[in-house]
Amino acid sequence: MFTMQVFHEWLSSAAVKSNAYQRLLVRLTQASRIQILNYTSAVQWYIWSADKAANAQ
Amino acid sequence: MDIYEQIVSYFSGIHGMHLWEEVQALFRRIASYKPQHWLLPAWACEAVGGTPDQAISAMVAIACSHISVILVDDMLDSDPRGEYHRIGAPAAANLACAFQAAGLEAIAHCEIELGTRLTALDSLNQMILTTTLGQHLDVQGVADEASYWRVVRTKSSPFFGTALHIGALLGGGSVEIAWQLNETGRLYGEMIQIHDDMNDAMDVPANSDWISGRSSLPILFAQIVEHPDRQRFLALRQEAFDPEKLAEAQAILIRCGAISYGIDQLIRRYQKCRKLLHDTPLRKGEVLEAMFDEVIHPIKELLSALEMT
Repeated sequence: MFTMQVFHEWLSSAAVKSNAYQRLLVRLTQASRIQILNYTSAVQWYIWSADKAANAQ
Repeated sequence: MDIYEQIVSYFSGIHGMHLWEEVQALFRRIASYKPQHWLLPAWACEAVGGTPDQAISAMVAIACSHISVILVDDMLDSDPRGEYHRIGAPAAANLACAFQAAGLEAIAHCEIELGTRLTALDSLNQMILTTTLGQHLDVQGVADEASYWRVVRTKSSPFFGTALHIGALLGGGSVEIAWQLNETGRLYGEMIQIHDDMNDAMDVPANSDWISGRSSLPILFAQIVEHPDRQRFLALRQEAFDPEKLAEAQAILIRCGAISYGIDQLIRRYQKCRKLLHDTPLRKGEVLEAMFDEVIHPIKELLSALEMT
């Protein structure tokens, strides 16, 4: 199982440099909060909240 | 008549509903928000070659389940937007029971062959039971990774699985195809929960998860993984109501890899779903592909923006 701890070690390992996808995930650790919020607010699906879904529309 | 008006009309015709104005008013109010969740059965119905009209009863059943879960979930989470603040917890609990039963009624009396109807009823009832278990587990609290995923697989994903399952059944899809769409829907539900968690964790002011002690996926990651900022994060979490402390804690979420982990989990599920859809003989698979693309497209944009920096 790819646990959180294993993922963290994998992301921190030197081996990530050989893979473009892994490099992007590493670069994501240097993103700004605004960049992440811009992404999350672009998805209009919410679990168990009618109001949030309505407000997003 | 648009699809939401058809859903409201079908709901009003369920036996006994004409006697209960509060139930109808709440249903109409939530329908006016046009929740996308209610359309899931129609998309599955179209994917197997049916028309949205064939899925009206399934949409009503899913709408009822959706409202029922929200009524209860808001009470369990002490959500300030909850209907229970307006009508009181006893009435909200009772309405939730009414919506559960109404959803089953919607399927029990729809015009499809008896065997298919029973399969759809069983799917709906199993979903209600599993989701209720998930809510119970969530209230107990999530302390580790295994319990987090167990809550997701019970509380969040069955709803989406059943929505596609019964939509496919009512659209004339085979039992096998309907089950494959159930599996696809479950993965989709997991994706929505992961996304929801990331959104809540990055939101300002602090989402109730920070204060209440509920561990969303990124917060759980930052708490249990051994990373250099772990102790600082644990201290900051207690003071997340302070905007400066929240900003520092959110920066740690990004820096420690918690957001990268969430994105990776989303992409892995997306790839599984694409394969499942590819392997399922659908007449209009593109309807469901569009549903997944809607969630994955912003991630692709984010990653390509990072690639260019």
